Amino acid sequence: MPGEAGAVKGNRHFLEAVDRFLHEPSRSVIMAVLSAVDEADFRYLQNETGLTKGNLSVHLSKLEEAGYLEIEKTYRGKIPLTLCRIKPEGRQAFKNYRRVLQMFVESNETER
Amino acid sequence: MKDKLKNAQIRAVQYWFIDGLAELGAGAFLLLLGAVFWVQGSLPRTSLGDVLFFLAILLGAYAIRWVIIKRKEAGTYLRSGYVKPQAGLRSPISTGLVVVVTVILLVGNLYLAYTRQPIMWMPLIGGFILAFIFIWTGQQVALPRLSIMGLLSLLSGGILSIRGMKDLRGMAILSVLTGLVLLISGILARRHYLRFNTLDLDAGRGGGSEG
Repeated sequence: MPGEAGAVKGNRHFLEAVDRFLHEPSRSVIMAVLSAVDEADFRYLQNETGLTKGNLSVHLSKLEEAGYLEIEKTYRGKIPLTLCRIKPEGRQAFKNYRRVLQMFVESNETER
Repeated sequence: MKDKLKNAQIRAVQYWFIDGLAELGAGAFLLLLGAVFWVQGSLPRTSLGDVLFFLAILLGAYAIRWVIIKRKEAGTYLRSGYVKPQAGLRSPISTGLVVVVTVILLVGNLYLAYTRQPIMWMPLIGGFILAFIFIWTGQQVALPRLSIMGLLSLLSGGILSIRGMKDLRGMAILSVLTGLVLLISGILARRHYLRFNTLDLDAGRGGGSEG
């Protein structure tokens, strides 16, 4: 498909602008969920991403280290609860990521 | 990818309604409201009575909300996780719409009070208010079933007004009808939810590598 390859090549600057850290599928789903609500717990995020506990923990830790979200470990009754909230920096980063992706898709459709 | 992210956001926003408890609670509240309207319409009106009915509605609303939250804590959050919905209105259009409808209702109320007209259109006005709440919520959380319930409320209110079921009795019937529809919807949603979500007491906490 030479047309598609040309379009992608022509829009390389968009691809370069994509936040590769957020472009990882599981991380982008975590950020999408947390950007739509005030907070969500580990269980919900595990259901949404389909990740194992270990993998989800690693992704959450990386997002926390990047300053995109905050994690609070608490209890509901006697049951441990891990709550995740997106920070303003994370919200802005995810908004930018979505915008760049949207621009890439639109310009690609125009060039076809 | 974009659709996957959008769908994840929609599911998160819809989560409050996933287990049917919100509809069961709202249905129970409307049945209570219907009972209060019916009793209020059957007794001679006094200011003390109005205050007591208002208190009964307020207490009922708080009690139902408390039961919903407790049931969610004991079941839903353990089964499929906890999500706290975003507080407040999400878009300027929503805010504008709420303001416009509130102003229309206030002006309409003042007009009816000032001109001392018979309140034969009360069920229609009630149906309009319920329809607005349901359709607006349905749009916010992308749940068409709420919008359909809103249209049913508006239709019921209109029919009750045209058939001459005016005043508080008409409001009582409208509340009970809408409450029953909500209860049925809630029962169906709850059955579906319980069938596909099992209880897992260990799943709320994060994995070991979280530190």
